[in-house]
Amino acid sequence: MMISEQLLTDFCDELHLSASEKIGIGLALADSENVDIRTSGQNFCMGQIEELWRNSAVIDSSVQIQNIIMFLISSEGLSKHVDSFMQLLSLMEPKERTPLILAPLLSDDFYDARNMELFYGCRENEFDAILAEMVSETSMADIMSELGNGCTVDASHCNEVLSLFLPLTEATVSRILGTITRTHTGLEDNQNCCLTLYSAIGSSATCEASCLSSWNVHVLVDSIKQLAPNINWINVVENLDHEGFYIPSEQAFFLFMSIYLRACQDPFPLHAICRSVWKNVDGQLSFLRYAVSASPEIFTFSYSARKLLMRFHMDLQTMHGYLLTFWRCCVS
Amino acid sequence: MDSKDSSSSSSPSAEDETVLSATAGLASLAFHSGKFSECVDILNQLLQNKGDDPKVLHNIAIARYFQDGCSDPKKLFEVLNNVKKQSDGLAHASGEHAEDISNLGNNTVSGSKGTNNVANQFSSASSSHIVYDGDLDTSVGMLNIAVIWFHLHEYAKAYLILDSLYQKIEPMDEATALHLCLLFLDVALASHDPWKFVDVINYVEKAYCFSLVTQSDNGSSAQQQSSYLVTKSSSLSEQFYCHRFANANESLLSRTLSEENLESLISSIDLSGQNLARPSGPQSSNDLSRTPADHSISTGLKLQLYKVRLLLFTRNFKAAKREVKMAMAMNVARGKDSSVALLLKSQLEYARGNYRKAVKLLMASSNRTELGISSIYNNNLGCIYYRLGKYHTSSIFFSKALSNCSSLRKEKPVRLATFSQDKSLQIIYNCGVQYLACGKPILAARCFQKASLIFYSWPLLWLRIAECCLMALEKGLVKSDQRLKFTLLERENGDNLLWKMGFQGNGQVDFVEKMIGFLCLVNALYLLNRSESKYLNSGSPHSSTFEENDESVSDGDSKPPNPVVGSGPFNANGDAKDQKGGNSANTALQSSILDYEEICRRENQMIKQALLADLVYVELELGNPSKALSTARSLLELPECSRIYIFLANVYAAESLCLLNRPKEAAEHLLIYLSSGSNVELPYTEEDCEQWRAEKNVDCDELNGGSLTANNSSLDESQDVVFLKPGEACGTVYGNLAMVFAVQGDLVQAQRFVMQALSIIPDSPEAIVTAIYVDLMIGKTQEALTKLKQCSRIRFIPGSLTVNGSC
Repeated sequence: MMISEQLLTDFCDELHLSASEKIGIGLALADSENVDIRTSGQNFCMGQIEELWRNSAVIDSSVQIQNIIMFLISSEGLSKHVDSFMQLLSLMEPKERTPLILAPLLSDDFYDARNMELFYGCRENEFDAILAEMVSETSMADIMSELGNGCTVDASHCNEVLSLFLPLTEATVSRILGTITRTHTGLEDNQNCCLTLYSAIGSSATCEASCLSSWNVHVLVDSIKQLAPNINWINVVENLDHEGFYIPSEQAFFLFMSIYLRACQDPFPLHAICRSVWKNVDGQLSFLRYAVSASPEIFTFSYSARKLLMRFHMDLQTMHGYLLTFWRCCVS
Repeated sequence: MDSKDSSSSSSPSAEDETVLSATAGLASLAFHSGKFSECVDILNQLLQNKGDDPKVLHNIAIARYFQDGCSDPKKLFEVLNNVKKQSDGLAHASGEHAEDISNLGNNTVSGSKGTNNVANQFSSASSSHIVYDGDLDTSVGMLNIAVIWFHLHEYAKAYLILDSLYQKIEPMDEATALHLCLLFLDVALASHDPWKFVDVINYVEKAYCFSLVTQSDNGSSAQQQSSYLVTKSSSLSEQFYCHRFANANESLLSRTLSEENLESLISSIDLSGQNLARPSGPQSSNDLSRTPADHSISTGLKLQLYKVRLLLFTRNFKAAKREVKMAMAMNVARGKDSSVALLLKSQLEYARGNYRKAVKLLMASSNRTELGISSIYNNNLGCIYYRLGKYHTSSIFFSKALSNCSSLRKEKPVRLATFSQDKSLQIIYNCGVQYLACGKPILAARCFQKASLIFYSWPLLWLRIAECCLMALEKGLVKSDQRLKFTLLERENGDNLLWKMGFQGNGQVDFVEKMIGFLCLVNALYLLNRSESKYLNSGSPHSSTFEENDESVSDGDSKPPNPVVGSGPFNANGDAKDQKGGNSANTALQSSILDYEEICRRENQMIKQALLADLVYVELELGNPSKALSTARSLLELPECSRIYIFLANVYAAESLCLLNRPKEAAEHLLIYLSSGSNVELPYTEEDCEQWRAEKNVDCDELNGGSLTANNSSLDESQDVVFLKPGEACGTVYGNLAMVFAVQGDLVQAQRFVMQALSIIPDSPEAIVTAIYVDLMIGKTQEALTKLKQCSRIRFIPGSLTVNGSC
C-alpha cells in the first residue's frame, strides 16, 4: 500500500492525534527502509514542523516544540528519533530565529561560533546596557546597612564609602537617611565587613579597630555636604516616600530630625509629609505618629501654610490632639 | 602534485638543504625579533623554492597574524584549516603504506606511553621522521587551532582537537607535546573533565617532569634544551620549521598557560582560581623571546599549580592545602612571583569559609593594575561578599569587575589574548545569582539570559531563570515590567518582533511568566536527566580504544571498574596509566575525583528536588492539577529526598487532588503527618533545614535561591526566601486539613483543625479565612464577625488568596 502524505494527514486527523504524536508517526516512517515511505514520512514531519514555526507567538511554538521533544524522549520507541527531529527542526528554521529558551534542547551547535561573533564585537553595547542598569540599581543605602555603623566612624571613611557612587543624588541621600533611621539601633556588628571593604577598595583611610554602636550622623551629614555641596535637602525629604522607609521608634524620629537640623537651616518641608497620601502609607504614618507627639523644639507644624483656624488659645497638647485627628482623616 | 610529493618525501640535496636552512633561520630570527613583515618576506622567498610547502604556509599565516597585531583569529583559523587540508592531501598522496606504518608505530608506542617516552621520542624522530612528517605538520597546525578555540572560550571544540592529538602524542617533538599537554590540562578543567586531566598530568609527569627536574638540577637545562633544538633543526630543515612553529605557538601558548583558567567558574569559586599568573604582559611579541628552557624550569611548578587547581575543583581542601604549600615553597626556592599560588590559596580559604583570610590573600596576590587581573580580583571579592551575605556590597564589586571587562573589550584593536581574559559572561552569571538573592528578579533574569551564551547547557541556569520568574510573579513585578518576557523569549539575534500577545486572551495576566517558568524548569530537568544518563552510559567513542589498550597491557591489579557516575570512559584509561607509573600522589587525585563525583551526585539530587518542587508549583499555577499531581508524586519517589521537599510534595499533591475533586485522597497526603489521632507532628525539623542550608553552603552557592519554592504552596503565607519554620509547616498542615474536611462537609473536624492552625499561625490570612468559613457554615455568625474584625490588622495582598477560592 502506498502511504501518501495526504493519507497520513487524514489518518492523524481521524484519530485526533496530538502534534507530538503526529511528529512521532512521521519520524518513525522516515526511518523506514522503503524509500517512498521514508520520503512521505519526512515530508509529513516537515509539514508539521513548518506549521510549528509558523505560529506567531514565540511562546506557543516554544511550548509545543518542547512538548514534542519531551514526548519523544519519554516514549521508548521514539527516543531514538530525537536527533532526527532536531535536525529537521534546525533545517527548517534559520538559527537566528530560534528562541533562547529552546537552546538547551537543540543541538550543541546552536551557539556555534558565538564567541567568534563576540570577538568581533557584535554585542558590545548590550553588555554596557546591563552594566548601566546594574549601576543604577545599586543601592547605596543597602550597602551602608550591610557595612554597618563603622562606615561613619570618621570623615575619611565615610567619604570613601559615599564616593563609591558619585554623584550623590537627592533620592540616594533620602534612602540613606531612611536606612539610617530604620537601623539606628540593633545593627549587628559588621566591623569586619567594613574593614575588609576599605582594604579591598584600596582605601587610604586607616582601619583602626574602633567600634561604633550607632551611626555618627554628624560625620555622615558633613560627608554628604562635602561630596554634594549643592544638594537640596527639601528635595531629599520629598523623596522619603520610598519602599522601606519606616520610623520604628521615637529615638529614630529624633535621630532623623537631628540629621535634618544639622543638614539644613530651612524649616522642615511639611508639604512633603502632609500634602498627599504616600505610596508607602506605613512609612508616612510612622513619621506622623512621632511627629505629632514630638515636642515643638524637635518638630513643629507651625510652619504649615494650611493651619486650622484657632479661635482661642489652646495648650500644646490639645493642639497635637487636633492635628492627630486631622491627619488621621486625611490619610484614611 | 609531483613537486609537492618530492618536497615532502624525498630529501633535498645537501647543498639545498644548507641554503634553505639558512633562509629558514633568517625567517625565524626575524620572527623572534618581532619583525613580522620581514619574516613574511623571507618565508615567501622560501615558498618559491619549495612549492606549496604546508609548513611554510603555516609559518606565513602565523607571522601574518602577528603582523596584524593578533587581531584576526578568524583569518588565521581559516588559513590554518586550509593548510591542514592541504597537508592531509599530501600525506594521503605520499602513500598509504606510510599511514600503515604510522598506525603500527602509534599502537606500539601507546602501549608503553609514559615509561620511556624520551627514548621513544628520539627513536621516532630519527628513524621514521618521514613517516611522521605529515602528522607533525598537522599536529602543530591543529594545536594552533585548538589554541584559538581555547582563547575564544570554545572549550568543547578545543577539547576534541586536543584529544585527537593526544592520542598520537608519541611521535611529536617534545616541546610541542608539552604545549599540547599543558593546554589540554586547562581545557580538561574548563570542560569539567577531571579524569582526562589526571590522565594528562600523569603522562606529563612521567614523560617530562622527571627529566626536566634533573636538567634544572644541574643548572644546564637551558643549554641542553637549546642544543637539543639545534641538533634537531640541523638534521632536517623541515624539522626545523616545525620547531619554529612550535615556538610561534608558544607565544600563544605561554599566555594560555599562564592565564589558565578561564573556566567554568560558574560557581563563583572557580573564578578565583582563574587567571592565575600572567607573568608576561599581554603583548605577544615579548613572549617570543622566551626560550623553551624557561618553560622547562617552571614546568614542575606549573604542574604543581595544576594539581592544586584540580584538588580545588574536586573540593579536596585538605590535599589542596598541602599541595599549595608545596607550590609556595617551590616559588620561594626559585625566587619567583608567587601570585598564582596566592590566588589559589585565597580560593582555598574562600572554599573553606575563611573569608577574611581569603580577602587578605587575594589582596596580596595581585597588583591589580592590569584590567584582566583586576576584573578577576573584583569578581572574587564580589563572591566573597556574597558568601558573607552582603549582597548589595558584592554588587559593587561585580559591577566593577564588569566595567573592567568592558574597558578591556574596548581596547583596540581587539586581540585574541585580550578576549581570552574577558570573563564578562561568567561574571554576569554571578551578578544574576546576586540579584536573585537581593530580590531583583528582573535584572537577575537579564543577567542569566546573557550568561546563557555559555551556560545554556547548565541545568542550574534554567532553574535560576525559573526562580526569577517565580519571584517576579510573587512580587507582582510582571504586570508593570514587560522586560522579563521580552528578554527571555528574544530570538538569538535580538529580534522579538515576532512576539505577539495572542495568548493573553486566556484571562491570566501572568500566564506568560508562568509559562516561561515552566519551560525553563522543563529545560533544567531535561538537562539534568541527560547529564545523569550520559554518565551512566560509557559508550563514548574513545572508551573502546582505551579498553583495548587496557587489555593489551593486561595487568592483573587493575581496580574494579567504578560504578560511580562519570568515571565510565576515563577510568579504564586512568587505571592503565596508573599501572605503569604507580604514582601515589596521583592516585590521591583520582580518589578525590571519585569523592567529587559523589558530591556532584548529591548536588544534582538537591537541584532535582528544587526543580520538581518548582515544577509542581508552576503546574498548579497554570491550572494543570493532574500534571502537578504526577510531578509531586515523582518528587515523593526521589531517593534521599529531603523531608522539607517531601512535605512540600505532600502539600502540593493534596492541593492537586482537591482541584481534581478528590478530597479524600488529598486528606491522605496530609494525614501522614497526623500522629496518634489529633496532633500533627513536625513535618520536618530545624535540623533538616540546617542540613539543607549547610549542604547548600558547602556545595555551591548557586543553590541559594533554591528554596524559593517553599513559599508558594497553597497555604504557605511566608513571602520570604527561607523555608517555613517547622512549626509553621505544622500549622499549614492543620490549616489544609481543616480546609479538606470543610470541603467534605466534616465541619467538626474542620473546626478542630482550624483552631489548632490558628494557635500556631494566628496571622495567616488563609487560616483565618478558613476559620471564618467554618464558623459561618456552623452558624456562628458572631464568631465569624469577631474574626473578621481581627483581620483588620492583617494585610490582604491582592492575589495571595487565590487558593482559598479554588478549594
